[in-house]
Amino acid sequence: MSEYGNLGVVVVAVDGSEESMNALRWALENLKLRSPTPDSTNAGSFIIFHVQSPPSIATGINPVPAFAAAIEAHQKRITDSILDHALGICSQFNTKVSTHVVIGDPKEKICETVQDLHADVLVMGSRAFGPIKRMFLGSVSNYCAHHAQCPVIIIKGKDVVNKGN
Amino acid sequence: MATSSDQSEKPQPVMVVAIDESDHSAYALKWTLDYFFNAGNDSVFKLVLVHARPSATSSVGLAGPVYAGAAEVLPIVDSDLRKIAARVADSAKQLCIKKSVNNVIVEVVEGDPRNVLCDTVDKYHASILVVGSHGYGAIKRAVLGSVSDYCAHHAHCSVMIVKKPKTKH
Repeated sequence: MSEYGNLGVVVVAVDGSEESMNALRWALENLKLRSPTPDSTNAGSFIIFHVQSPPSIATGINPVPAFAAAIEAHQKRITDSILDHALGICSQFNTKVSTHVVIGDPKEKICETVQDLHADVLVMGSRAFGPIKRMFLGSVSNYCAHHAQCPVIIIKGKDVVNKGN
Repeated sequence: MATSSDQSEKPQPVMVVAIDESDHSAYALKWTLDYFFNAGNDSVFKLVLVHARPSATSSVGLAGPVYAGAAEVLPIVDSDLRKIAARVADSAKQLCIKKSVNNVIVEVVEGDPRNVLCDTVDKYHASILVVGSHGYGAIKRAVLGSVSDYCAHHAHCSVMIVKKPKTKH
């Protein structure tokens, strides 16, 4: 009975960073989804969400088609390996997960997707650039904390947690 | 090593929820209870509610730099603030009891909310802090300061920011 909580859709935003994978692990360990028994209309699920950079950044305004295609293929390979790694983490937990990929600007796309998927909660890591910058939130998590339409959980790095002990 | 007395060898992770008089924090608490504590006392987290009570001296100080009658007013202001704080703590506790979460710790601490929240997180070694958000825009945030922003930056644990959804038109 205590296996299940009440969360329907949990969106976990991942990029290539270790912090976002930690956030995914935290979410899988601590967030309890709605149970899949017949009395609840839809069981909860985790959605691993990745925003792929648009090729236009690298190619500029007037890209050579072959070059643009090569960049797109490269981005896709990166996305696939990120999602593979994330799914590898999920396989240790017995829970329903799916993936979702969108191309565009991370901050805006995350907030947009949260709305589209009717997420109950958004989980993200906070990019840490170093001991000083680690005190501050990355701009993506800061933006999403203020603009997402649902509650946002920001997972900080493990060493921040242990600092208190 | 003696036999383990109960199944839960690991200490229960602690969730600290910040409360004040605003609708936003009541909404945040309700949301948290609905989604994390619907199993009642059987939940994963141990719940700690904390209310940061403004100190009487800081409230009176806002009226102006020199206030001759300050000494007489302070005890009245202080007892007023205590009453408000007790009311806040009480209504929060009622919300929890309604959701069958009975073993809640409620703390009322005097001081600046930013520091009180971060200190409470450290005191209980919380794994997550939950704060509501007034949803101020960038300018208001710069002028009034944002407790949720400060905590998201400085708390030594994960932070969940729960915003009341804007009314749909």
